[in-house]
Amino acid sequence: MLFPTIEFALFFMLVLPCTWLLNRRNTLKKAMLVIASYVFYSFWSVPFLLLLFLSSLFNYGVGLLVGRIADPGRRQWVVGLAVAGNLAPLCFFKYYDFAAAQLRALAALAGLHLDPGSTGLAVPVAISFLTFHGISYVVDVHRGKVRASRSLLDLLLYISFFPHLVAGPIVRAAEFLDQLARPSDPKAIDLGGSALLILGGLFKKVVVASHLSILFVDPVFTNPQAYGTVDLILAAYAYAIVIYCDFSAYTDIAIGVANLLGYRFPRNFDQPYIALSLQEFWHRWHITLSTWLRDYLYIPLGGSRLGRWLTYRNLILTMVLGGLWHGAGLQFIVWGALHGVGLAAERLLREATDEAGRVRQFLRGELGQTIRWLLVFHFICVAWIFFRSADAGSACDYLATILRRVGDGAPLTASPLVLVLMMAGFLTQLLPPSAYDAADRSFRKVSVAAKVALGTATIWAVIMLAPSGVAPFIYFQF
Amino acid sequence: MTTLAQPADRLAPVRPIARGLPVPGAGILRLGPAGRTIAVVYGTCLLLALAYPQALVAWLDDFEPNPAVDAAQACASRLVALSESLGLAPISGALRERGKDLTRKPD
Repeated sequence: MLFPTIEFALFFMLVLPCTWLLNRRNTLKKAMLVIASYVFYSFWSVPFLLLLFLSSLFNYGVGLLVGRIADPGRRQWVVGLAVAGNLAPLCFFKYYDFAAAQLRALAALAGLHLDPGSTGLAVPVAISFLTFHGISYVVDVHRGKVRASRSLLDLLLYISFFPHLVAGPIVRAAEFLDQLARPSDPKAIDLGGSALLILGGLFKKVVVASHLSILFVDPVFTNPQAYGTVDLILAAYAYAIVIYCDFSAYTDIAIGVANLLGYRFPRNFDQPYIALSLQEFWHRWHITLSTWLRDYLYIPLGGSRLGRWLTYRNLILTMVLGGLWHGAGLQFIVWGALHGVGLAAERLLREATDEAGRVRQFLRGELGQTIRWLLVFHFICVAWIFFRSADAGSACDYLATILRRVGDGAPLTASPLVLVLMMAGFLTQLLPPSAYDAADRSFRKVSVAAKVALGTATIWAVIMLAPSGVAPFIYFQF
Repeated sequence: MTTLAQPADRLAPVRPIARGLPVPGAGILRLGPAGRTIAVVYGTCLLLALAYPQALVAWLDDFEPNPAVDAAQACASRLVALSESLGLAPISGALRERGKDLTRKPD
């Protein structure tokens, strides 16, 4: 069930009043939300509902066990096994076929015949986010950041809550379980901010991302040889806009929907393409993933505590694994490695230059900041080419074609509409966080009728401008 | 004098939604934050269905016929008639075709 569909509208029209009617009967409300979330997931797959349930049950049991073990050494073992238990389904469904293919290829190179077979199964929707939530819960119980939940219902809801279930944002147990302890406060509903998130999300996904993909990005990435250098570069920029508009749209709608139900989710995007460094980019892009990688991978690897070179190694390893999480393919590993090496290079530059020296002063100046922005934005766009391509070879071909076709006078195929959509998409990410507070203040002042009229007019305009059929969100595949 | 607040007091589960129901004599229905949220969501969805009922009709057409679908289709037909009488459905239909043309490949 996709957010911008009639199915979801009807589903939400049923869940929203039920949630608030049952608000004073918190246990009943949570049970209703668990059932609603399982119904939501069943629209993708009924058999994998069992996986969802077993994952919650497993983490509930492990959480209680970890909470009871006093000996740190034994607890660490149990947590290690629990992390492995969470990763096992992910590895099986997502990486087994990829690893088997690599093994087959390696064996063939050595002149051997090896056939580890294949699962022949589709990757369950939401399996990555399921894994993130499970690991985060168990490790946080171990670290004492959250108490082991005594309520299976709370844990079922934490793992399966439908707004974040399929593509995030990744909500920490400490942030969410607290909210389940008591009835939600209706005064905390940020109707204006939620409306801006949901309506803006619909516009970004349905109008900008869908049109840009169909009109320009998909054709160019499918057959880059048919296009000139300018089109290829523009398509790389366009994909940077598409992935931002697509993914931030999903998490914006999820945050807005959760807020209307009385729950707070963390912010996931904050003007990512204004970043002046890769480090800043990762503080602004998919914030819940980058902080998850930092807390559950980078820091356990040693973070920056083990000296300069091991810090660089940890940065690169974290980003490579982050890339691999996005998909079982060499192109994702290269994408992660590029970011890891970039982050390490930035750190090296920071450590090699004097804080008050001329280089740093120049980089802090207006010209220096412009150069930094240009470098960072283009680095990110080059990395996105790997992320978007079918495989690493296609990405290299794409980059080679950009260079090969320089000056060959190929006609520009990007239409004015494409350029307008790119501009609109880029502008949406410039919306500062304060805009949501301002929207809420303004929205509070107008009557219910005016709110309805505004919402209807916006969604109606989005529907009118939508292409035929809206593709699933990009992050559903991860 | 009977006010809208009195029935709400008897309906404990509805209280969170109906909090802030009218002050006696105020003459207007005042909703609490949850009630306002539900009113906005329902109002928006219903107004959208009226403004562009063709989407609902097309969506219902995808289902296998059964009594529930038949009843829903009958409701949708009445909605289309109402929308057409208000002049909304034809405008939406024409604009929607233009919208689809944006990404339609030339033959």
